[in-house]
Amino acid sequence: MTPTIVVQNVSKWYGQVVAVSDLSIEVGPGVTGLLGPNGAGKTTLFKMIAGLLVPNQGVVRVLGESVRAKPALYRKIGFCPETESLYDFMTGLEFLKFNAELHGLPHPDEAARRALERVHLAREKDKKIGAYSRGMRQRIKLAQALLHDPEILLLDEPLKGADPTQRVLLIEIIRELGEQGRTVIVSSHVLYEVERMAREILLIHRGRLVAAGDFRAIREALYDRPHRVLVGTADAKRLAALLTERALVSGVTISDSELIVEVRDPALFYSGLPRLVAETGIRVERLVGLDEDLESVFRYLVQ
Amino acid sequence: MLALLRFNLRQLIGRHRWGALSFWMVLALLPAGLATLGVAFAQDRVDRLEMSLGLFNDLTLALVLPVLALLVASSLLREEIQNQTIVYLYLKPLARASLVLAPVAASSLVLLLLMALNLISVSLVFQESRVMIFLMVGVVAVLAYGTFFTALGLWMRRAVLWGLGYLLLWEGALGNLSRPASFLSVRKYLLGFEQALLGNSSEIPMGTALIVLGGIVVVSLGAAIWRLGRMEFEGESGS
Repeated sequence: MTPTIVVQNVSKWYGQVVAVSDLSIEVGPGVTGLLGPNGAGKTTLFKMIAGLLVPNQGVVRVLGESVRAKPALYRKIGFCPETESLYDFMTGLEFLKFNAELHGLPHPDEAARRALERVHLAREKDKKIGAYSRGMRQRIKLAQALLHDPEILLLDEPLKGADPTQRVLLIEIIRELGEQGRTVIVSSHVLYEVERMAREILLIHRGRLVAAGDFRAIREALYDRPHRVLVGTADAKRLAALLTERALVSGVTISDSELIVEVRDPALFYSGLPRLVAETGIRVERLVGLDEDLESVFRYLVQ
Repeated sequence: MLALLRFNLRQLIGRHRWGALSFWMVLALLPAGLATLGVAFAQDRVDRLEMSLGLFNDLTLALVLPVLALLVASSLLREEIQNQTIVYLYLKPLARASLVLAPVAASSLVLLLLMALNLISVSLVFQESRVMIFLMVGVVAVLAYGTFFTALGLWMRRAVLWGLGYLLLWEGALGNLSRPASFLSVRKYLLGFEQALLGNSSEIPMGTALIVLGGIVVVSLGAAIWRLGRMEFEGESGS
């Protein structure tokens, strides 16, 4: 793989706050997911790659060059920012046409209409952006990033605020872009979303790269860790004893009406628990996975 | 560049900013209003030509035009940065200079229209014959103040406050009290240019006035382009 984006020993800090710390990555064609909880440094990394921020240390190269020194490179880069700010007084078509003109495209109107169709906004082309829903705003931002057919796409939380139907559409578009051989970096803090788009993933936490590589390998590593599940029941002590006896859990913490159990094999636990409840008549009122959020995945990976 | 110019003009006057537009118009027409009152009350007891020149120098050139330039020119790029919409302009294959020159051109056009409105309204009251001279001074003033305040908008977060401080405290108060301070003000050279055009004796020759005012335009543009080229756009969270 020839890397199109190279980030070498990059650090960025704001006063005492370190946003990105000695981070090195190489990204090539295809979709790469950038995963990390809020505040992990994803947006800072995107902005450094896009040339909106300058690293305090290290080097960022896009297609072998520094973007800040060469604005002409923006012909090959599409950026979908996380910010919701748009020109609300413009219609969708006007906004895209204006962006196409700034890119110097020969037929801005055609390019704008094509991009609108691509994100399924053709019917709303004459509506003011100020009247767009959150999901529509996400789509118009993606459309302006795609408008000039760029080789590299930087998509910062493109699914944020989109409803499930729109998510399916956006995910489909992003996957297609990767299949066309473009370099796409897409960020999210939701694990399953990235799984549906990206082949390679980069996990960052507190500005540091904690894992990188093929999604499946990292996923297996995640599944090897113990999961914690909260079980709400009035008969906590009895249930704890039974779960341990049947080896459905590897550890138990008991409080008045709750158990927090550690599970090594989630499949075994989730199939064994209903059987146990049916046999014994113990009433389970609540069942909550405590490790489903990315923050806890990171906690595990960083340990 | 044309697309950027159209866009900046629309940002200034084409998005239903009725409040701002009305305020600019009122400010531009303020000297004509005062002139009407002055003429009505003084009738034939005052020299209309002298009153017209006084009004132009002490109100239009000293306050109305620079305040309008400050409000119009300093806001365009600063608002883009604060609203974070600057990414849609900055991440384009455009020379950084064009991102500055387009708002300067747009704000200059709007200011020239307001200036024309101001001069026409005042000249109607006074039957002023020196409108062309005032217009020439006005054009130079629009360029000098417009570029100066565009640069200020990029260098300072609270550009309007800094600009008002400069106009009221430096040019207004200190410039009148201290002779050296007056030589470090845009207004001094505009007045020198005007006096030379009127054929009056002035302590600043026309050549010097034009060189200094041209220098202000060039240095302000250079400072604005340099600043924008090196700016970082952190956004709201900084992460």
